[in-house]
Parts: sequence; C-alpha cells; structure tokens
Amino acid sequence: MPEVKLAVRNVSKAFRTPTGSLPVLVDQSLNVGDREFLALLGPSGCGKSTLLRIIDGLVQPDSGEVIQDGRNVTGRTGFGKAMVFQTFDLFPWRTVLDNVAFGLEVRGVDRKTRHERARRLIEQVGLAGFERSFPRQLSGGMQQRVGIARALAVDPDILLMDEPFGALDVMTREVLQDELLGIWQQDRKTVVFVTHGVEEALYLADRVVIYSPRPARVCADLTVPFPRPRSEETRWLPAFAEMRREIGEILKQAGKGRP
Amino acid sequence: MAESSPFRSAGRLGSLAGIAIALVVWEVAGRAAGSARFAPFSEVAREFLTVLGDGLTLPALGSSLLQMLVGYGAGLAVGVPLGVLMGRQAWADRAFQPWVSMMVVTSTAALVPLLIVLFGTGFWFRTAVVFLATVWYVVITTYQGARGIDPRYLGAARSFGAGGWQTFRMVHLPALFPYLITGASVGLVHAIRAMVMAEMYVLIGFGGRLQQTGLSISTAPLLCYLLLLMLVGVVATGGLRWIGGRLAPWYEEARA
Amino acid sequence: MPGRYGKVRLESWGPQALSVAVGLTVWEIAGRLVSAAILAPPSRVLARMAAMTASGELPALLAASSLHMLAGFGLAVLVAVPIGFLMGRVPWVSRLLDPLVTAFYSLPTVALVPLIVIWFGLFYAARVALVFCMAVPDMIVVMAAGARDIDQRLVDAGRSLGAGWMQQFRTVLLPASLPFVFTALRVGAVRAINAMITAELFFAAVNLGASMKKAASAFDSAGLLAVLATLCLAGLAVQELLRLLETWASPWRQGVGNG
Repeated sequence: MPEVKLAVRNVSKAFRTPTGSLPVLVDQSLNVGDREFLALLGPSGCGKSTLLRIIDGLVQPDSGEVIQDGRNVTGRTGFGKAMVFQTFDLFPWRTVLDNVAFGLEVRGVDRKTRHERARRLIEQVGLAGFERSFPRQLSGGMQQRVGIARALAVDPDILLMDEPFGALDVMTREVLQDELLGIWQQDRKTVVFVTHGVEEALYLADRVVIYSPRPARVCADLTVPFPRPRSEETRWLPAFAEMRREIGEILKQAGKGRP
Repeated sequence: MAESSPFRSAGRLGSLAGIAIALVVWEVAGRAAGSARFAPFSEVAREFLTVLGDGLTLPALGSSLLQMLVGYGAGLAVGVPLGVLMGRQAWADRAFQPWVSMMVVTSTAALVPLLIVLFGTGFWFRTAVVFLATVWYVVITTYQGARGIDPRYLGAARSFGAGGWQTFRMVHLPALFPYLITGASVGLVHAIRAMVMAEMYVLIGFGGRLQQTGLSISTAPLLCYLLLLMLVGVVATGGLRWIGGRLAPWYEEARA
Repeated sequence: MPGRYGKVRLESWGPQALSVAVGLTVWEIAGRLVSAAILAPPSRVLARMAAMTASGELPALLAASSLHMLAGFGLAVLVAVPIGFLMGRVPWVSRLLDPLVTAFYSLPTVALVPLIVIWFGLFYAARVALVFCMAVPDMIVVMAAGARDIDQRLVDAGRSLGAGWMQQFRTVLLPASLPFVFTALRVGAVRAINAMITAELFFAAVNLGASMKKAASAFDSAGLLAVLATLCLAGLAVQELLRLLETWASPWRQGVGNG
C-alpha cells in the first residue's frame, strides 16, 4: 500500500435513542493510502455513513481518533477535506455559481478569484450556462454535479462522498460515475466513497472495504484489480462478474443470523 | 404561481369581478340605507377626492405612520433576534416561551389604560402600544423559521469549515429570510391596527380624526378614512412581499 | 409509562417555572421601587385578584364580558369557517373573495367602531358586532390557507375508492381539516377576547372595561393589572381548552401536536 494519507484509529460511536444507546461503530480502524480511491461498501444504515461523517469531522466519535497526514484532526472539518452529500445539500438561496464558490468564500477568497475558479469547475462538470440558476431549477443529476464542483472548488486533498449517486436514477448514476472517473483520472485525489451498490464500488474504486450490518465491522478488504482508465467494457469483464458474485456472497454471510 | 398566463388573467378577472360585485352591493345598500347610515360608493368616491385634497387628512395619516414606524422598527429590532435565539437555543426557548405565549393572547387594547398611566398620551405611549402589538408576532414567526432551518445546510456549511459567524451570515440568515418577510408583514398589520386603536383611544392623529368623523352627519367621510386605511394596509404588506421577492428570487421560486 | 411521562413534563416545565419566577421577582422589585400608582408589584396584584374573586366581583364581570364575546365569536365561526373552507377548495370563490378578504384583513377593525356605533348603538349589539368583525378576517385567512394545503393525495385516494361528494367530505376533507380548523379557532379566540375588551373600552364602558377605566382614572394600578392579568389568564385558558378539545377530536394525531 502507498503512503498512508488518512488513518481512522479505534473509533467507536453510539447514538442516544429514547430506548437507550444504539452502538453504530465499535472500535473501527481504517487506513487510506495517498491518492487511493477507496469504497466503503455495506448494507443501508450499517454505520458507514457515520464513519464518513466522523472522518469529515461533522460527527465527534465517542472514542478513537482520525489522523490525517500524521495530524490528529478528530472532530475538525476543513483541513483539505471536502464532502459530497447523498441528498446534494446545496444551498437553495445561492445560485449554482455561489454554491460552487461557497467553500472558497468561507476561506476568505476574494469574489473575483472565487468566481473564476467556480466557473472553471462548473464547466468541468458540464454545467456551463447554468451559473445563474438556482438549485431547485436543476434536475437531480445536475444538482449533484454542482455538489461535486462545490467540493472540488476548494481543491481538497481528500474527497469524501456519501452515497453521492444513491438518490439518482440508474441512467444518470452511470453517466455521473463515468464523469467522476474522468475527473479523478485528470487529478487523482484521495477519495473515500460510501455506497451500498456492489457494482458501483467495483467500477470506481481501487480497494473495497466491506462492512457488516450495524454495528459496522469489516468483513472483507479487497483490492480491485481492473486496469484504468475504466469504461463500460470493464463491467463486462468475467473477473468483474466473478468479484461481484464473491462480494454478494460475503454480504449475504455477514447479514445472516440478524433480524 | 406555476399557473400559466391565461389562468392567471382569469384569476385577475375573477378578483376584479369580486371587487365590482362588492361595489355594486355597496352602492345599492348605501342608497337604500341613506348616507347618514351607510353612504353609497358613488358619494364616498366623490368625498374621497375632497379628503385627498383637503391638506389635513393625508399629512395626519403620514405623521401617524411615521410615528408608527418607530414602534414597528423597535418591534423588529427586538423580535427578530429574540425569535432566532429562542429557535436555536433550547434554554432561551424555555425561558421566554411562557412570557411570549402570555403576551400574544393579551389584547393590546387592554394594555392601553395601563400604558397611559405609565407614559401619558404622547409619543412614547403610541410607540409602546405599537411595539407591544408588533413584537410578539415577529418573535413567533422568526422562531418558527429558526427552528425549521434544515440541519443538512448547517452540516454542509460546517463541512466546508464555516465558523459560527459565517454560518449565521451564510446559512441562518438566508434560510430565515422568507420568515423575516412574513414576520415583518404580519407585524406591520398588527402595528397599523395598534396605531389606529391607540390614536382613537386618546383622540389624536389620524385615528383621532377618524373617531371624530363618526360624529358628522354623513358617513361618507368616515368611509373615506376606512378606505384610506385599507389602501395603506394592502400597499404596505404587498410592498413588503414585493421587496422580499426582489431581494430573494429563490423565495418566489420556492412558493411556486 | 405514566411515571416516565410525568418526569419528562417536570423536566421541561422546570426552566419555564423558573423563568416566570424570575420575571415576577424583577417586577416585584420594580413595583416596590416606583409609586404604586404607576406599577403595582405582583404581590399586590395577586392580593387584589384574590379579594375581587372572593367578593364575587371579578367572576361576575368576566361572565358578563364573556356573553358578548361568545355570541360574536360563535357568529364569526359560523361565517368564517365555511367561507374560508370554500375559498381554499374552490378556485372561483377564492378569486372572487380574495381582494375583499385582503382589504378587510388589512383594515384595522377598531376603525369600524364609529360605523358600528351608527348601526348598532353603544351597547350589547355593538359589542357583538365588533367581536364578529375582529375575528372573521383572521379566521378566514387561516382557514383558506389550511384548506388549500389539504394533501391532494388524500382527496384522490378518496375519489379513486369511489367516494361521493358527501362521503368525501365526511371521510377525507373533514378529518384533514380538523388541524387548521382548530388553528383558526385559536387565532379567532385570541381576536375575540381582544375585541371583547376593546368593545368595552370603546363603546359604553361596562363590565371589565368599566372596571379598567375606573381603576385607571383613580391611578389604581393594582386594580388595572388585576383585570389585565385576568384577561391574560382567560386567554391562556381558552387556548388550552381548545388544545384539549383538539386532542379529543382527533385522537389519531395524539403526540403530534405537542411540539
């Protein structure tokens, strides 16, 4: 494995509910290599999204720490990380341009510079001409393109993606997967991509970590061997189907004996 | 809002028809009742021109409204931060909730005798009445807005490293904006109500003139005053909505 | 779990009770510092209320005032609820009446006092008329907004199950309307109590209004505040009563409206 960019060490998290404490993560550790595309795969609601939010610093773990470039960043957002959310979470009161420029505005970048950069990214995700639109005037796929551009605008070292295509229809999802790969191919960032789609994980990632149902624990850690750049043909490789079947089996085993 | 234009013009036509029918009914009822009891519209319309030109009524209305703006402004200045605080902080919610619910149900008119004892009948009295009539409605509206801010937007802002002040400026304020406009216009309706009531009680300003017109032989001048007040209310609240739409284009969109 | 429920209530009521206690203390101190003619302290106001209640004066005044309040409010409900409902459900009714309702909503009702004097004199009929005029526009506005927002899916579901107009009204529209009918009642009740005392101050001074005027001219702020507090408590009691009635009338919403 290449040099470690991001390490999660012995993280635990439980949520308080009216009926008591619900453990979501118990003593989980994870290493992410520099410029690695890592997929966290698991059934819905297993706690992988919580793990991603802990990595981003949005959620404070009950114990354990998040180390980035050797620095303890537990519970701290920013620091070269940027997140793409499952429900897009664009600001409805900002135009596409100002949504994309949001992270730069937070950093105090002046208006002209941040708009220039935002325009470039909007063009990169194929939304040129929509700079002045408001999010609700766009389709779901277009909104998530804005979400991706917003995250890339701050030029993060680490891109965190929380089931970013989960809310989109199948066609749009595949188009966006290819676009994401295209962008990543040009400028390889460290990516942590949460999904419950086996095929999506295999198609996008260098490595797939598979989680059990809640509380999440690692069932398997697989390296994805398919060559890059990947394309539609990758999905038709016999090895792709074989791996998909294998992962399906692992997930089925992990889900056994649970309600 | 999503209606296409022919429907929209049909709506406008229906509204015009509603106004026309009301005016006809007014005219017929007025002629039947006689102007001592209910002056017909034609007479009131003629009177309206006289009242507009008499050089007394409009200045009286203007200065009453200017004075009202002080209490109304104070109501917004206190109500908005208090509403936001209550909506975002559980302790503030609990601490102020009983007082707000008490004050909202308390009639402004019932406060008038007490306020006269406290402030006399001058500027401070009227300002206090308007303030007390406005502030609680602004608090309630802002409170609902502040409570309802989607945590996803707060999360996204925090994820990009926004600090407390930045989050307030870039998320809380725009998310609150529609509620601020609604609160300001509901507050304005209550401020105008309170202004007229206070002035009628102490026979001063526009409200005082209105109260005294009730003693004249014809009801035409009185009905003129009522029409004027209606116009002021409709124009003021409509104007606030328009400003809201201009300042926040996404808001108009959101209601479509 | 009645015990548990009680505990939760106690927990959430504690700070509110504290806040009321602090407020009353501040008022008490302020009241003792300034002249009793201007602001009587709450202890004296309470004592006055107790004395006036014991002598039967306050209950008698409140009952007498309630008479025209209830008459006007009842008439207002009979007019505003159906009109508001029709405005919400039938587009042409809404178009026809909307400008009039907007105009009357923007007109301070108290400005109608001189006209009401001409039509109804200075006594009972005038008071009923003012209560009616003050409650109707606000209630229509709430009713129309609520009826407009009835979930169309419910109506469609009723229609697809073959419900006739009357059946639809009874099985879908009526239960779906209950929440905002009660909102309208609560808004109307605030306005009606407001109008009740306004009427007694602006027409011939009787009942609670007369008592207030008498106290004001005698610089008896304890008497003034006693009536004010009674009005405030009556207002809160009516709100609470309507809330109980709502819970009773719509058992399927229990636990929803407590927010």
